[in-house]
Amino acid sequence: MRLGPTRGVVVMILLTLAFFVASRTTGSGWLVVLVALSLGVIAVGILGPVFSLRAVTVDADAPTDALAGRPFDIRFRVETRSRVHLTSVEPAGTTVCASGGTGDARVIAERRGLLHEVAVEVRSGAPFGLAWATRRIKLTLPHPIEVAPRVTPARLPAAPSVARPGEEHRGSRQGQGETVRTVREYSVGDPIRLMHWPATARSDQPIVKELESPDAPLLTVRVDLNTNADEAERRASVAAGLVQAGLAAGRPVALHTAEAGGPHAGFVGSMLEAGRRLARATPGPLPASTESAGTTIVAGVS
Amino acid sequence: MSVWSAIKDANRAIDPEPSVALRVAVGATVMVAVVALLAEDIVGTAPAAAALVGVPAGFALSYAQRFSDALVLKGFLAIGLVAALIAFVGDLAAAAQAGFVNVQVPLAELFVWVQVLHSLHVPARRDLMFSLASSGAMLSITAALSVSPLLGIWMALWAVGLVLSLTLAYRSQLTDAPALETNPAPLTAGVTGSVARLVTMVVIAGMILFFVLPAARSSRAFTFPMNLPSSIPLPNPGGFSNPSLGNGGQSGTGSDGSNRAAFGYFGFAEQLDTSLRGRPNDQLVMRVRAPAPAFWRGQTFDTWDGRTWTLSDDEATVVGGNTPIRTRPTLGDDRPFGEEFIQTFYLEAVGPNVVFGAYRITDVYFPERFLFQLTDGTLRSGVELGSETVYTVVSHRPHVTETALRAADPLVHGVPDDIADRYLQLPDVPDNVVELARTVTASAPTTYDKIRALEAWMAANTTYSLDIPPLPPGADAVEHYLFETQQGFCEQIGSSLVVMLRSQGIPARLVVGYVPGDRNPFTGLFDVKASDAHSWAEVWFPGIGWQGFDPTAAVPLSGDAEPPTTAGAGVLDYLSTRLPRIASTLAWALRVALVGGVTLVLVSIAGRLLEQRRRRRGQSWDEAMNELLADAGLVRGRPRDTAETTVEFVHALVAGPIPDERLVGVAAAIDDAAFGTADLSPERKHDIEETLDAILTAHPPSRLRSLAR
Repeated sequence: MRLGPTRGVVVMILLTLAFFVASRTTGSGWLVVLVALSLGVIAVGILGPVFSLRAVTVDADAPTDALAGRPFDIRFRVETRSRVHLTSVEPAGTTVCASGGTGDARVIAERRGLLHEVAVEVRSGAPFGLAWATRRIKLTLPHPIEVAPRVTPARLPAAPSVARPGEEHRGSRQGQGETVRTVREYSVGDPIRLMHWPATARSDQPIVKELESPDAPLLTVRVDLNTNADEAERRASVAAGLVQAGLAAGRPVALHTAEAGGPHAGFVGSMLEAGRRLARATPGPLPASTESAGTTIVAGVS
Repeated sequence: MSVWSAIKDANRAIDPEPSVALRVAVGATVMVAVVALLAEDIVGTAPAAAALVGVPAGFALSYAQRFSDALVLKGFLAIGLVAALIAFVGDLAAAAQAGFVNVQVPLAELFVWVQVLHSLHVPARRDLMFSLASSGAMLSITAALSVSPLLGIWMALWAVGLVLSLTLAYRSQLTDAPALETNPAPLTAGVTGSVARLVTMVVIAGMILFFVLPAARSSRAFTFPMNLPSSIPLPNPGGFSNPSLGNGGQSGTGSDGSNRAAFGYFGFAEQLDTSLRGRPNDQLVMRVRAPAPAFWRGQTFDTWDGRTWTLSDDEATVVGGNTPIRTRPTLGDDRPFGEEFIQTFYLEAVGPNVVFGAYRITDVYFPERFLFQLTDGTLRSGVELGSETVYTVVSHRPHVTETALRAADPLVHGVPDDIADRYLQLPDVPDNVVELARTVTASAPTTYDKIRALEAWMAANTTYSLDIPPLPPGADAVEHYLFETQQGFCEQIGSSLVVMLRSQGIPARLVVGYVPGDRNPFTGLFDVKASDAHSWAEVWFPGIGWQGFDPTAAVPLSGDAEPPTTAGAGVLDYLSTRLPRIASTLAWALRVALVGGVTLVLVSIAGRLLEQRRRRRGQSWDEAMNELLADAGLVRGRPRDTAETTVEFVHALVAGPIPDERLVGVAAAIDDAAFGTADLSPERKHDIEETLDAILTAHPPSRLRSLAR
């Protein structure tokens, strides 16, 4: 906890000092009473914020997904006997005034990643605002926020022709084919027609089909984050841009990343899914390359 | 950018303070400081009237103009401040000639003018805080000049106002940031309880600090207070006068003293008749600011005839001409310099034309240029000394301890002839008195021990009583006291001590004056009542001078006296003896506060209603409706944000305290009226008003709901 005086307390101390000097020259007892009162106010004004902050408790809840550089809301519940200023430091947010209750504060995560906790600064000058005490509190979130990287618009590298000789390549969107490549858990944004009802019936959660694109070449994006933090952030952004471009072009997109649990390779069907994968991505060994015909290896980010 | 634009830009309104509650709190606090100053009658009529009217009016005007650049007003304020400063410098030059302390009055007036002018333009919170600090400075001037215990009430009120203002300012400062909660608590929510707790904490902290802070003291760096409200010359310059004795004068009608003035002490006269009876009452006669208790000496008597004391030589010499008036050493003043001891006397009632002070007075800051000094050192003024007279006496007290007095023995070192002639003279003292003195002092090795032996004998064998029988005609007062009644008060005791000491060759005289009185730890003043009038013995010691002795008043020797080192010394004793009076004063203060509070609330409500009416009269329909909505939200705990549109605000109300979808239609109609191309028909407006009225009636503020339940 940090304690800092304000200009107000400096003025009060100077005034009190002047009263004291006057009491030592004029002999006025009332001036000593005034000095004692002023010192009483200063003492309460300086100690008050410390005691006030000790009694403050804060909880936080947040959405599961966020995008780096884009504002989102974190819900704070503040218990306090006096009013305080609350500022989210990590992720950075605006300062809000809390008088005891629940409300949303807008924050911006500057980098992608998994946020398991939120660091906030609580400031109190109660009761007089003569001094401000600041306390930094780390709040563990009930679930981590998966902050996807910024999307750097990217142009797809020229895809190797996968068209059979004599056929003209037709661009198509992913999932336009009928062959089921695999099934996976439902993600927000998946079309209802992709629901795999038999699998859903056997499972306790919705399951969707991933269809083999009949003709679009596979886009494999390998994201190597074994570099410094800024460069890793840039690579993740570029990868997000490539995924976006690939999905927009209707190509099946596979994302190769390293995660805390080890190398991870998998198809992504939406930007939400891609964002989550990139949020979880860490420096580490990538999965083995599975270069084969009809596959585009995007090496620009690896 | 033109110069004018640059000036306007530099003076544009910045963050006007939105809280009316804060403005009212600061205004009330400032007014308390102003009224405290006026109650002490320190400033003249013009600044007093200006402050009483100008400060509240200024705060009101300032609130109305808070969004304005107020360039013209600022110009007038600057001119006003310069004028006040010029007047102050003029007063300063005049006052400084009479003494630096007189600068405090022009300074107080300057502060009043600054406060009045500043209150005309306090748009922002920092301006309000400046007003608050300025009120503290003004109160400090009042505190420096006041000797009244009632100032405590004003200081208490000011402290409450300070705590309230700072609390609201802090809360208002926090609301500069957006609120976390959808329905944040209003600024004044729970402020009463909060302020009550904080005031308690501040008072407790203040009391603790009061016990450890050093006591106030006067400094020679300044000249001292002196005041003479009316200069009434006495018919006999250098002579004696004491209006407090009333028409009966000193002689009175005899032994019961019944026709004397209520509070006069017959010892303050040209002679002291020990056959007179009766004592003064408890009327406050003066307050004394001094670093330690001492006898406040008035005059001495050297000639005893068995019943009455007189002064053998009352030839007066004029002293003075400069400030301070320097006195001359008189017979027996062996050591002119010692510890400096400054006392300021604030007379509360008319009294003798005697200048009081601890032995030995060297300088007097007196409102007249001259005083009359008698050969025994007594100082008389040439004018009547009525209430509100103030003068300061600088004494130099020899550092006297028992050891010093034992070493300076007049019986060993000898008594000069002039002192012996005057202070050893005795009439025919009864033999039994002389024999008693000889017997009691026989075993005492030094003069000091002889004095203590006589005091101890009197303490053991006589009784102090104010109710003693009349002195029979022809009886010797000392013999009657020591051998007949063995009852007496200060005149009998002091006279007996002086006579017995003289009978043993020890120079002594009788002194009349006042005992120190009770020290008020808050004002730092000794409150001296008429009943504190006293007489006691003074004994001459070679190399030291005159030293007072009195078996009835516990006034320590100057070397043994322990001045109060901390301001709070004696607080508990003082409070415990005055609890009933304090309780009644508090009850009175509470009544005043209650009446004042109710008046303030009524004035505030009336002002608000008037303001609303005035604003609505000049408003368009949509503005008036918006204001109604804003007020409705405010009283239901959802104030309107300045950035919110009507529709946004109404949606927030519907989601919160007024869950009624019809409100959205009302908002749409208000927006139509404000921004639509065609005016709303009067019928439509009437419908909307009725709808809003119905909605608000159906959803009263929560407090009303709970009351209804």
